[in-house]
Amino acid sequence: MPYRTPLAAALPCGIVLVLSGTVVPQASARASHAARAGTTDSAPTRSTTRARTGLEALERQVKEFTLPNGLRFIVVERHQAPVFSFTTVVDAGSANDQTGTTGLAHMMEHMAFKGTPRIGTRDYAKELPLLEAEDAAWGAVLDEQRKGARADSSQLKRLTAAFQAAEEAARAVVVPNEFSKWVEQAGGLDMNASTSDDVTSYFYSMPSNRLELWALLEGSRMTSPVFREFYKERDVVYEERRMNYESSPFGRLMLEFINAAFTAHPYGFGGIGFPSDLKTFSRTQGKAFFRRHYVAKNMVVSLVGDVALDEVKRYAMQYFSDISDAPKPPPLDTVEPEQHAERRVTLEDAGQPLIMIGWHIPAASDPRYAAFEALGDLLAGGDYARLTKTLIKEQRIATRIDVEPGFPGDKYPSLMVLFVVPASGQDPARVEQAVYAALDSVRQHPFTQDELAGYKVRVKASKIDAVEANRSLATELADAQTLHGDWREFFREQERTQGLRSQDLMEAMNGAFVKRNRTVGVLLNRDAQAVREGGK
Amino acid sequence: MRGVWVRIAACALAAVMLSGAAGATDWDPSKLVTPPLRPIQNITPARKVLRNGIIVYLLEDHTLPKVRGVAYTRYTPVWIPNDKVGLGSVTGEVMRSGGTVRHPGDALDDRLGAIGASISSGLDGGSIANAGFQTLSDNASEVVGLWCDVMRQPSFPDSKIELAKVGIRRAISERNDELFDVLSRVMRTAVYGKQGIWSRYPEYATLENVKRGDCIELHRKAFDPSHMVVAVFGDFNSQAMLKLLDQQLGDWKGSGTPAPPLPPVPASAESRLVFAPKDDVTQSGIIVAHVGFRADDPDYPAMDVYETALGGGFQSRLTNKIRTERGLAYATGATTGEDYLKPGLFLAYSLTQSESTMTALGLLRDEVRRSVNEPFTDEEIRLARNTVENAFVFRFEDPADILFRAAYYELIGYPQDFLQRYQRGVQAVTSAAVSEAARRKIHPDQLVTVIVGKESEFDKPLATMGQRVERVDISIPSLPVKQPEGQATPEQLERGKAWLARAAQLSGGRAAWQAVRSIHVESQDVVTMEGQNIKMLTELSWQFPNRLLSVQHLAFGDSKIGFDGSVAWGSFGKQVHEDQGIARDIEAEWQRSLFHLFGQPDEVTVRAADEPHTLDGVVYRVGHAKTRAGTPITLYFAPDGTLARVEYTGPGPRGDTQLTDVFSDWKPVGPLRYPHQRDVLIEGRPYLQSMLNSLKLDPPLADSLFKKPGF
Repeated sequence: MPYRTPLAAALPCGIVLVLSGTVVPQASARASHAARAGTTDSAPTRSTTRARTGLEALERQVKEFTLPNGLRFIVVERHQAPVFSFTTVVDAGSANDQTGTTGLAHMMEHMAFKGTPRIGTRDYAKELPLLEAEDAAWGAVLDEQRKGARADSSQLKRLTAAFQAAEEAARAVVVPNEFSKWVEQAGGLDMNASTSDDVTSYFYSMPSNRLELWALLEGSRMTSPVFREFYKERDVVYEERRMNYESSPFGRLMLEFINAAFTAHPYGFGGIGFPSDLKTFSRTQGKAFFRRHYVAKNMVVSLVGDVALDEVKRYAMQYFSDISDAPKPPPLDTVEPEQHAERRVTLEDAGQPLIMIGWHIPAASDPRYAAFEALGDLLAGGDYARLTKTLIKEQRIATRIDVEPGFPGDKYPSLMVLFVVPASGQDPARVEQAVYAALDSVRQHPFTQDELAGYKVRVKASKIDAVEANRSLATELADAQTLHGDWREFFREQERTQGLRSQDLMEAMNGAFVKRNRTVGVLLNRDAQAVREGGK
Repeated sequence: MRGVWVRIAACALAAVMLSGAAGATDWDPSKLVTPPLRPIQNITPARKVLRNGIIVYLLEDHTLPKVRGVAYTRYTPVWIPNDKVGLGSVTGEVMRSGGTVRHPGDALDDRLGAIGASISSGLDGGSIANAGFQTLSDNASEVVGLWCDVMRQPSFPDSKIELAKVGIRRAISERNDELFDVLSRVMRTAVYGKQGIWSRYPEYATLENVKRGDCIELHRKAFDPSHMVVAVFGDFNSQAMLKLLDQQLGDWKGSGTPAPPLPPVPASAESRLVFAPKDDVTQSGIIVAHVGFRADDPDYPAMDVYETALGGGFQSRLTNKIRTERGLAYATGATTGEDYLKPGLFLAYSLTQSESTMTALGLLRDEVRRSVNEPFTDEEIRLARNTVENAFVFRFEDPADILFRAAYYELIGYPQDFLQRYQRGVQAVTSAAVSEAARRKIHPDQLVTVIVGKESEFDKPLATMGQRVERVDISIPSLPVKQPEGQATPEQLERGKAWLARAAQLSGGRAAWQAVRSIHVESQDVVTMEGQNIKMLTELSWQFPNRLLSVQHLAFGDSKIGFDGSVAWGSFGKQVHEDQGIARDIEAEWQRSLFHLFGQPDEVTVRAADEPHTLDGVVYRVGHAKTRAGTPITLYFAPDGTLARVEYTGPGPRGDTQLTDVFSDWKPVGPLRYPHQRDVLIEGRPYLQSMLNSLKLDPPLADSLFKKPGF
């Protein structure tokens, strides 16, 4: 059992408290990515003696190498079954989106399945000018639209028709979904990708006799993707927005909440993209994003399974060496400023009540981060946790409480979020007050040695769970490499937790869990609220 | 080389030249040679039988220091009565959460948490119950002991049953929140039937009926060692584990009966369009579905290939037509719906923006029809078969899967080589075989279409789709309030009186209501019947207490009722009839009217219920009222003290029934605060919505107004 319940388990329909998009709507993939976001590592803190992790042998099996262009590979040979899994992590996510083109990081993820000059086209020589004509036609539509009220409606109609014709012309030479077909017909499994605020990840599993096919496909799409069908795919992404956010009470609350919680840092954009941006950004802007972020030094590729290191090296040289060797783009300089006043969003909605409370906390690289992870587990990580006991089991005023340190990301200073589902009939305002009272009670009765010891055991168990499947281990190692610059940090988490004292958790809590540092999002059921306020 | 974008930016001629050069732009997967796949390692779990007949599958694997296991048993939904739906979920949850006599639930939570282990149990699927565990291997014998204790003698304490119900009540209350939840529920009900045993969902009322004794009985029947299979995987010694299991489970006596048969799935449902309205969405959910087949059907391998070609992944027709070509959907696909113990469901689905609902439905139906009428090309089938065949190896990736699958096949009576037979079947599939199987298994003329969404934004009316439209009501029936028992205590009457006085106070005060002698009301009403809305303007003239004229202006004429103090009558157009029943209805209407309740509270006794009542997320105080005329009425006071609902027995479209008036939008009218919206519910479901246009207090009303017209 993971030491922390991923929020995916908390909600109907596989809802995940992670702002991320995927190319394929897949409940399992979404859930596992929530789990991922929930088990991120933190930087070394006061480490003491090395604990027995049960994973020492595995750690010795992890190999790595770096290509001349700076691309890092991590390889674990495990020959139990003739299959392997890989993850490519690009150190760029929705937080790298910019005003005017929000949603573009996620768009990259969708475009990575559109092929190359060789894959996905009948004739690239014919296609290239058609794509340029398509871009020009879109640019003309946009120029006219930008005139706003002064736009000429018949001209706009004509330009839109011309754009659609250009789209059709370009589509005529496309071999639709050829890239994905290569993966599927080879037996590739769980092919998908996900975009979080911090990173974009690409992954699937393959029978091990297809290693070269994998290298060719992955290397060529990261070197020379063609963003064909860009504008149709923009519509697909908009449908993703409709599904996960616009048509879901939880999604609607989450966007309002996250928009309110950040004033400067792009974590506040919400990842999926604002409607106007999703209807206007262009392929040219997409290509600029790719050129900047999809460079070898900004990526990690991990492979776990029935592969031979030498063979991986050979194919890596052959198929990944042409990825741009441009410098790694610098991290964001924008730091979310200190918050001085509580922020509150109240969404009157058709859905049932929900509560989100978020406090600003440091990034995962901060030594204090480990204390927040422990705090999350001991407050709401399971049936043994304090808030779960008080609010669900004793007071019965909530039916679910989940906690997420590092929401919506953990690369930059972020939030620790409590997500509370009030029991039916409970006034959300009273439930919120009960949460604060329960937190006060934790301050009165700090965590015991036994509680901390339990946490440390659960971390150990969760690490063992995480390495069992090839796919999960590949993800963990690539994520640790990306976040901390060293995959070994995945194995170091147990060490970091060893030194944690109750006092560290209390300091973390007292520092962060104060009113002026919090954002509260409440979804009120419109009908219930009308009755409550009927006599006012 | 960081050339690609430079190149794309360059002119077409340069691109043609460069694309001829070796490099990423030219890598061609079709030129690769695929080496043979290394053979799959043969793993055979050990099969043992305990002295009481429990079958045990074991597989040692010392890669990681952990152990996990599961016990599967069979049950049937027939064991859950219709008026106790929810019993399965409660039983499954409380088995574990309630713990046992030796290990109560809360202690179990703490102990398992402290050692990073877990035990789970559940039986909501309708046919298979399970209890599982996982633990670090150091604690394996302790956790196995706890797991067996939970399976054998759960104590089902009332407190944890109530806790489980709190969770399920919330789940009921939010079941219309997420589009896909609504879509799949409406679809199952549409295909399996409204009262179908495979399409039952808990309601507040059925949940309330679930008692501890029911849980104990269902657990006893379901967790029967006579049809139980156990599987344990991981870092243990097989002999020691077998001994431990025999100690813990071997003396558990079974019933000696075979696993219960399952009730049948209806063979077909009427082809129709089922629509459920949901207005808080920008996207519609669309499914076309009919009953499928069992996995041991000889057509299964061919249908698996069919599924891939029609709606599985990027190569599929649905993804290409609806998503890639048109950008109409993010989520679209199909499953042929094999299930293992009963026929599954064939379904093709798409989510799409409201404005393209009918377009997407048209494409969905066309593709299903085409998949039967127009054979897949050899290339499509080659791709799909390769996809299925080449991914087969992943079924052997995790040795634990091999173990749990063996146990599962044994439980459901499938041959142990079922998967190998399936594999041979897939290898033999041709495009002709897929066509034949699809013609046998897919019936486009039998599809039930289900749409959930915001009708006012659809691209075309539902009626244009050429099928009978069935509109379904997804509103959640509320729990009837409990009737009080025994005599009211003075304290209960005192509290009830105070609540009513407070409600009157909040609405302008007793004196203001008492002073009104007559009213004239004009309202815009909408009646919902069988999913159709009928709009009308209603005028009501009322000289209290009982002289009344009500006129409903309908599209096809006026409908009136009246009473002048002696003759009660009704008319429609020029048809007039006398009906003294109308006089009784008017009297009852007066008894429960706000003017009577607020203005003449001494005519009413109100007995405060001890328990509040929760409806749609609001906690109400409940008063059981009796007027001097003896009419029982239930009053619901909102948290702020206003009178929010009045429940009574009254005339419905089909005789007397339980009616509820729900008052909202209270606004001043003269000295009163008056509800400008009144919703009438029949048995908890919306029937009439009445929006007030105007209310005149003490208008002059001529006596002649109420007289039976003499044409």
